[in-house]
Amino acid sequence: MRKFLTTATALALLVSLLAGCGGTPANSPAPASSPSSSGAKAADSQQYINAVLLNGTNSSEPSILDVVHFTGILDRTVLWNILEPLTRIQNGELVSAGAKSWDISTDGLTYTFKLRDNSWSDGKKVTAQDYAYAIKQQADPANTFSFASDYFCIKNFQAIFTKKEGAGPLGVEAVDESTLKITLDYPNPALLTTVDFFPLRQDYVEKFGTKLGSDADKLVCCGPFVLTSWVHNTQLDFVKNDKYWDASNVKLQKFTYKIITDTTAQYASLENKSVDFVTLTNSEYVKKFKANTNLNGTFIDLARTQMVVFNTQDALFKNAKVRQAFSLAIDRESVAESLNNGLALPAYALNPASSSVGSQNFRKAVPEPLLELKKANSDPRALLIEGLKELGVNSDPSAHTVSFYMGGTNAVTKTQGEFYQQMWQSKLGVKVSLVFNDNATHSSYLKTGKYQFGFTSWGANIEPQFLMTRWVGGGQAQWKNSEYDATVQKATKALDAKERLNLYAQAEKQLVATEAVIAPVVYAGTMLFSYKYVQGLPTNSFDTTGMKTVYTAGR
Amino acid sequence: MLKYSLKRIGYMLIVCFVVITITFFLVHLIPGDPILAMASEVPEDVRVVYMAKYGFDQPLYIQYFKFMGQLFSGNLGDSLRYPGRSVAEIIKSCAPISAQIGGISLAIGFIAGVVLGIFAAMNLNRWQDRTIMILSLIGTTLPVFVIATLVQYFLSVFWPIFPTTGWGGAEYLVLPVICMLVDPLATYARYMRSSVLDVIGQDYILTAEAKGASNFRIITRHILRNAFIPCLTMLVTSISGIVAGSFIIETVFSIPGLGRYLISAINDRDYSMVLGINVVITSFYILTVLLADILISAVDPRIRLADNKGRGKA
Amino acid sequence: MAVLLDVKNLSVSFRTMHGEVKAVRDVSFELHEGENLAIVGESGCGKTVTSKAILRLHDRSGGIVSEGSEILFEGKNIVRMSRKEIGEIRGNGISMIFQDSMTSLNPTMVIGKQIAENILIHKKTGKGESLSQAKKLLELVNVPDAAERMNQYPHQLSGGLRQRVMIAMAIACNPKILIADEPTTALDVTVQAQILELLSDLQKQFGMSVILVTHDFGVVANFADRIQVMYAGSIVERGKKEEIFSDPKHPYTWALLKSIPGRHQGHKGELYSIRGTPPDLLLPLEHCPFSPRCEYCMPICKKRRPEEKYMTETHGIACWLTHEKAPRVDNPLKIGGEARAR
Repeated sequence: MRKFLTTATALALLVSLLAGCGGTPANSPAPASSPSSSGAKAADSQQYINAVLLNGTNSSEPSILDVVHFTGILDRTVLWNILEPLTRIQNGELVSAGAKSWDISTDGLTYTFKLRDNSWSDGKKVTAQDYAYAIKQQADPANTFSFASDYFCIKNFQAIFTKKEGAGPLGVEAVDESTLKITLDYPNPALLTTVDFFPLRQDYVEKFGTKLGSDADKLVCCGPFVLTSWVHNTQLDFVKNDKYWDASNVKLQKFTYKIITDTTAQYASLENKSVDFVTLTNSEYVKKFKANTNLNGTFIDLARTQMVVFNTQDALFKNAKVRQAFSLAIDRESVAESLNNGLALPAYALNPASSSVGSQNFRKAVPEPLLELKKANSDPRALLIEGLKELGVNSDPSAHTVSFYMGGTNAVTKTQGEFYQQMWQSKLGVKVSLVFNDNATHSSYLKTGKYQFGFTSWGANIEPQFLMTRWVGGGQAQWKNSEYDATVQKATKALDAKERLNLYAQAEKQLVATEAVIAPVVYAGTMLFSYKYVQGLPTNSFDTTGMKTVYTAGR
Repeated sequence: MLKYSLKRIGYMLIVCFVVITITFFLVHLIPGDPILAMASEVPEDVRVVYMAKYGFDQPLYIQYFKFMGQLFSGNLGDSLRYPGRSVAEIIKSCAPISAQIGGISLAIGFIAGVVLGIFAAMNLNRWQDRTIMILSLIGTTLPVFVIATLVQYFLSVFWPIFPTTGWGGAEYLVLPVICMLVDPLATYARYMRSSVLDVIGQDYILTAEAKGASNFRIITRHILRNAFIPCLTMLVTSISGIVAGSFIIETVFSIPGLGRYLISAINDRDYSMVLGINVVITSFYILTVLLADILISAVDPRIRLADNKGRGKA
Repeated sequence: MAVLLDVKNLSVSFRTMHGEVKAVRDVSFELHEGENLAIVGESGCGKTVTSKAILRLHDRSGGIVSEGSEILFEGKNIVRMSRKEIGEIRGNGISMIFQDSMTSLNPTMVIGKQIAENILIHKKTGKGESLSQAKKLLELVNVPDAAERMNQYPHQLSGGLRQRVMIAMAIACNPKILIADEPTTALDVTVQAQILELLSDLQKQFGMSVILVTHDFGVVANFADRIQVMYAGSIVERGKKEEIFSDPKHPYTWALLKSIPGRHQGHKGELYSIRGTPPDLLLPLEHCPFSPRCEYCMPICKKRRPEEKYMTETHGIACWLTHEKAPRVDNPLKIGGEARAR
């Protein structure tokens, strides 16, 4: 089901892509039931929306609204609304935005973007120099850009960022005012679906320095909306940007992002209409809102895999059979049902359902490797005993106590921990003890290998590249396997979609089944509840359109 | 008197210094660091550059001296979690908000609590007394987040009278203040009641009665002033808590106050923020303790640190 | 001499966790104009409760005055008065001073104001006038540097001075009766004498009657006109000072007098103490309350209370020894120099 405002751009994209890289545009997986009924009601005369600034259920203050210094996903969420990146993802597909078209050379190393006519909110034109300047600033080591590693494929970016001696010029060039050329050191087919290339005004950087983006009066916008007010830790107010190139298709006149950190307060705000939609997983409230006839409930796949990660340097978990046993002993269906309140799907692989390689949906082409392993091993406990024997330790599982690390100290996390504990204790007979730490501490432990095995989750990008590269060089699992590394490195540079797919499939099998370095548990989802008058909400978790497509009808 | 005050101020400065030092080392000892707290997926190269920029790769004692040096020159540093914003400016914008809510709640809670406490004591063991005591018990034992959630639900969802969250005009003050005044109200009611009862049992109240003083005179001239003193002591020391704000209330109502920043700063490992806020809170606390001392000696002549002019023996 | 205060059948009890403590049991006595009445007895005998009951100072602390009690002053029954009426009498017609002057004065009010308060309440004068009268009172009770002392707090004065302040406060409105509850117990000996002398002077000057409650016979000997000995809430013997000292008839009085350490007892002599302890006031005590400790106890003593019998017009004794059928027992004490004041 296509939305009318993207039809024209999608067709243009189709044409340019066919011309450029000889591939067919990706088939986006059909979105789950959309909350909009196109054309059923006429749009309201008063168009405004109140929303919670959310990432999952986490609402917090943006760090800074500057493309070079921002640090989190919430910052990006705001930036999508006030800046125009070269490309956006809409309905899970790459669409043109700041760039009306682009070419990719056959060797995959040169990207040439043709820019649209767009203006900043102070009237100046958006130029290729602005986009180039942004990337230059992001490469400058003095700016400590948090997402620099995503840009390392750009020529000399890494060398400049890590202050290597004699680094050459950055592979970014503003050919003319409306043409931008980016040159890569090596091919990266996932580039455009991983990063947002935002523009940056040099004169504003010179004017505000490090304070650029720290307040509403210290930035300039070129996206669908303009930030008019920012009450720190409380809310951000936006109005439609009349100078935006696509302003005619932006129906909202204004909207507000509220920062509501307490989840109960979020639900209360939805109940009394101080916000128009919210995403939540709390089972009690999901039931309550499902029963509310004024609300539409939509299931959203978060493309986030929750998993158990094993410390492969650990005395017990260095054995693959031990790891496999623990992985197979997990009752994924129960976890999805009980711990995630049915808002999750059992995961027998790493890459979630919405992953794509080029235009090919990954999961449709690649069966989940753990399913096969499960068929071959019906008794996890026997497998564990085998593994223990191989290690030369006591083969009685009950003689061993293992520590499961979790990142959270509240009641919810404790319940989850106990669930897993009980699962392994009953299926395998081992004793499991639980260790709870706050998130930052937990991350630190996983990173430095100060744990035995633990719980973690990773959000995916459209291409498997991101998830698969987390384990290259060891990652949280401290896993040193050159074969895996080589396969994945090759895959990240493979321009041929088929080749890429096979390489990733191979690596995934090794990671998840053969070596069972991680034990994926569920693909997490959430429920989006919105009042029936809210239309055009993005339901694909990869979308980067912000509030551009949203409007109300029949408030 | 002056010499004594100076001595106390000097002593308090030392306390302040010790507290800040301890906080510094404690906060750096927690596993994790700011960049890990913000984005755990940051690769090593980026991390190294980041650590170098802020000097986190240097040994702790060097970082400490750098920090103290900065502090003495009046610079509290910049926030790590919110680049571009200095700790000082964040505190300057948040502290007044917390103070406003806390101050109003404390004032109402104190005055109402004291009045209720006197009322309860004057009606000892009768229904008025028992009701006030039960309600005050509930008030002190009920956790803040329960009160906050209930108040939020009943006064903004069930009866949509007040806004659910946010900060702006006077209507945003009501719910947070209601939540925050429960504790001081309950506390001071009990405290004043027991203080009054304590005073009532004193011999000089008997003397006043024996003089033929009316109940009114006994209450206002003899009981109140003496019963008030312990409550005043408590009040002054609890004023220092106002600035720190209530994390829970600020979270539930999305108030941009200092309490929220402090707790989230710890979670974010935003060292500059944690230390900066700590400096402010500690200094404020010290000031209020000093103020308490001065106030009490002004009100209670027994504690007055006068020189020996007035002491004579028959 | 006219009767100023007529106490009839006064009974005061307190409800406690363990039951009703009958502290004062059916006490009756009179106070005449210009006389000093001393009420003596051990701690817990009910003398303080009696004295406080006169001004109804038990109202707040749960003391219950029984139905039949009467305290007549100036033709009215204090027991039945309203709060307002008794408030007018307190500090005005009848004043009271207490034992511990440190705790009996408001620690946060200057003493000048505390004295002036009395005047303010009853004479309804202005603040300035009350304060100047207070100053005069201070001078009257021989407080040196009165002007300076006016602005001092109780803790800045010595015990003796504080007691003088209390006296000044009590006599501010020229009361007809001054009740002094152990006024010298907390003071050292030399100061004691000064205070007693002061009281005596003031009494003559203002024509007050004084009820002096004490356990110290030495104080009584110099000061009192009449003496009442109380035990376990009742008066066991009463009479003129001479009668009590030279011819005491109740075994308890004998024991009390014997307990006074005498000069000629010699350094090696043991101090006499009355064996046993006072009775539990929760009990009804239908018998003579002193019987368990009495050396001359007879079977009848354990069964019935002795009625008070008057030997002379003023000398009354509540003891079965006074009965005609009782054996004759002589006063074991040789009064000579023992019970005299030092």
